[in-house]
Amino acid sequence: MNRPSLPALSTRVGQARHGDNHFFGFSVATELAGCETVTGLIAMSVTGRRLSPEERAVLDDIAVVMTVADPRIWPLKLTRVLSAYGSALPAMAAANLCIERAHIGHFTTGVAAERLVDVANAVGDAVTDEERLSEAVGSILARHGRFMGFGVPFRAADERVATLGRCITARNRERHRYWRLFDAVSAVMLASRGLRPNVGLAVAAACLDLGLTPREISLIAVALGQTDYLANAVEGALQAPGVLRELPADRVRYVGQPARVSERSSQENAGRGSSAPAPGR
Amino acid sequence: MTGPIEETEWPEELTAHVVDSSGEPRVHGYAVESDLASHYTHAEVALLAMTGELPAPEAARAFELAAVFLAGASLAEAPLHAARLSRVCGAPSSGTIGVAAVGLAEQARHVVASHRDLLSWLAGESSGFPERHRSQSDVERESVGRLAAALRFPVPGLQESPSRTAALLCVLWAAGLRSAEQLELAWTLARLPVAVAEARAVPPAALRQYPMNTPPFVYEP
Repeated sequence: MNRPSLPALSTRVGQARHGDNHFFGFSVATELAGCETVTGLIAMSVTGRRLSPEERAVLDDIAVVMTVADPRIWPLKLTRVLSAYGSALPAMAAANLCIERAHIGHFTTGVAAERLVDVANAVGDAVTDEERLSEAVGSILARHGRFMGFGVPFRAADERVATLGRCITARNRERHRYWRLFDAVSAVMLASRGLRPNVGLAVAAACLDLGLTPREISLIAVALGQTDYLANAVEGALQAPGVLRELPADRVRYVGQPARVSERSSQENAGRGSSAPAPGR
Repeated sequence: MTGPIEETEWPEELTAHVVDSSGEPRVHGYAVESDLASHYTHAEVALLAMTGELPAPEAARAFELAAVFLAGASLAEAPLHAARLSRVCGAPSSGTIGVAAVGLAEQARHVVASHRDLLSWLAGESSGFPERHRSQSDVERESVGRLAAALRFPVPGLQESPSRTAALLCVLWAAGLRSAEQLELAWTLARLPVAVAEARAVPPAALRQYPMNTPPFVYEP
């Protein structure tokens, strides 16, 4: 059959070769195996580049610090609810559907990163200039209504921010540009609005200092955070509790439309000369 | 540099078996716009898609009724509960729809698998209606009674005092849906609109409105 050829799609991601596989230009068998890590593969998947061991170590710190696997936290609860049928992977898939562009979850780190970049662009090198910082923060609040990365639910401070701060200091990265900016903006927000940063903004700062873009930060944070979902999906599938497949009826309170009869049912009843609903309806 | 994929011969096209989209679209040979749209309901076209043939009137009626009965899904059930959680997280609508679909497909898989003995009985592969699929309450018996009355024709299994779920599977079987995939798809399709509607009935990111300790979890490492 004569038909035009399809254009070839370019990919940097991978190729299956005889006796080996290639990933972003590297041989899995001879250049990655034994010297690359899962974190490094995640970073390569998103950025296309291979991180240094120091950069990978920062991402490892982030992954560990971000760990909050309490099954009551809303997207993890979702994982529990859907793994109650005995399968872990559909529950994980559903949880990931839920967190892209959502208001909570690791994807928000990219949005927090965008706000930090906005502030950085506004203040330039004057990272500690309180007036310019306040102006930049005010501009963000006027434009977006809130500063993503600020606000800590149900407690005074996000304990993960302090933990990540200790890790950043231990790796001598606390004087990097975006971490300094994170400290400075946090001081301004606390003084002016009484709001403290959550781990999303801290992660954003640490990742921006690795040269990652906001989009890359969202995706890497989600990938690094999969262990929270995996742990809950695995245990949830093993337990498969009936109470999560269906809650007791008294745990649902109906507040919608009151009971009513459809027009067709009314007409049918009128035709029968009865006000009672027809049988089978 | 080549590898096994480059060096293997592959077909150059996908093969469609259900929809012919050259010219006016056809589903299993029937013209969608100039034929099906004017003469058949959405439910009948769904059955056509799933079974390959337009249904007889009784099969269409059975499918329609089962689908309507299935629409009465509760927020207490996992797929709707999960979809609601996605809305609480502030997921976009596509995310909520996806969560609902995954949840319903999982529920359907679980239901069909746990009724394998019933389906085997319906297929004539075993004798004796499975006792564990008989109704457990008057509420269930009344619901099945309403289903039978609405059908107005006999459906195998409905005389066995089945549970509501078993009765619905019997009716879907009578509609011509015999494989696990067909039954799971019908179940998922029937419940998807109400699942998404229930999920989106609250504002996005309404975190404090969600009952976090229902049920409670106790940390016991």
